[in-house]
Amino acid sequence: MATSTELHVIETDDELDALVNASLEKAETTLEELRFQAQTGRFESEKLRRTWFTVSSLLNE
Amino acid sequence: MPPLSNDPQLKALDKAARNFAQECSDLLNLTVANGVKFSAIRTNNSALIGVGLSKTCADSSPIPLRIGKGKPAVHLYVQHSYGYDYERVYLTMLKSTMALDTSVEMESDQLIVTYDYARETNTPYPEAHLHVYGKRSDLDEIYLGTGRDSRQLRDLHLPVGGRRFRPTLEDIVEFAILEEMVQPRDDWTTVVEQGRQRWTSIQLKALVRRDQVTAAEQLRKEGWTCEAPDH
Repeated sequence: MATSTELHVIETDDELDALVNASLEKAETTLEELRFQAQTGRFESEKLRRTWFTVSSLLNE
Repeated sequence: MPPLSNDPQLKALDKAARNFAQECSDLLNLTVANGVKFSAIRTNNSALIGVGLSKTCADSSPIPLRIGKGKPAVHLYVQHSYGYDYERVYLTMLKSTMALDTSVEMESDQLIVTYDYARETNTPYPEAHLHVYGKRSDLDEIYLGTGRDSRQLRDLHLPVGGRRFRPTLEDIVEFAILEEMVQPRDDWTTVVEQGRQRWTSIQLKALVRRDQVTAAEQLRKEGWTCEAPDH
């Protein structure tokens, strides 16, 4: 199936780190804090829960 | 070692991510939205699929659910992570979060429902679960643990369907339509049903792979001839 979907390829660790850091900065949180909240199953906000899904997916956690 | 761009598994992942993103766009644009365009970010391990993704932004944008120009009653957030299963043979959904909210800011207290899925998660909660927002005053009374001071309704992980039968984007679209949060396009039922059939077929294949003896037993009962392979 041909698609017109844009696909952005992240090829280096630096690019990946920048992407993760951008999400964390936007949500005003840290990776450690999100890991803790994910482990307890309780996020302070929906924004943080969504950010965890994003960064944990990027980092394959 | 060949360049990553020539890795056949990554090429297959690229193709699957593009196709899946296109299916998500088509589903929404043919039922409850206008001009939605999912895109994908692919790392060396997986692909993130959402709306408005770029090399510098991995956060999906909320989608206003409306087919006209009026103010939308609800907004939809969708983000999927796609990659290989632990055997690195089959492509599968690794994580997914889909939420309906009454505000474009997707604030916690305006959440209607969130469907989450995290395959092989390292938390004790069900892989597929939903959260709802609401006010209750008695949840602390039924909390017997010691790790928290209090909890809210949206903290509960309500189990749904497991890995194979969890709710899909089609289910959320149907939910928003049937509960009259959005005016659908005329042919929405056909589009939703086609997507659902695709999903069911994929999940059934995965189930058969994981339990071939039971699948063969049932096929024999139905009159098929099934023999175990030699290997």
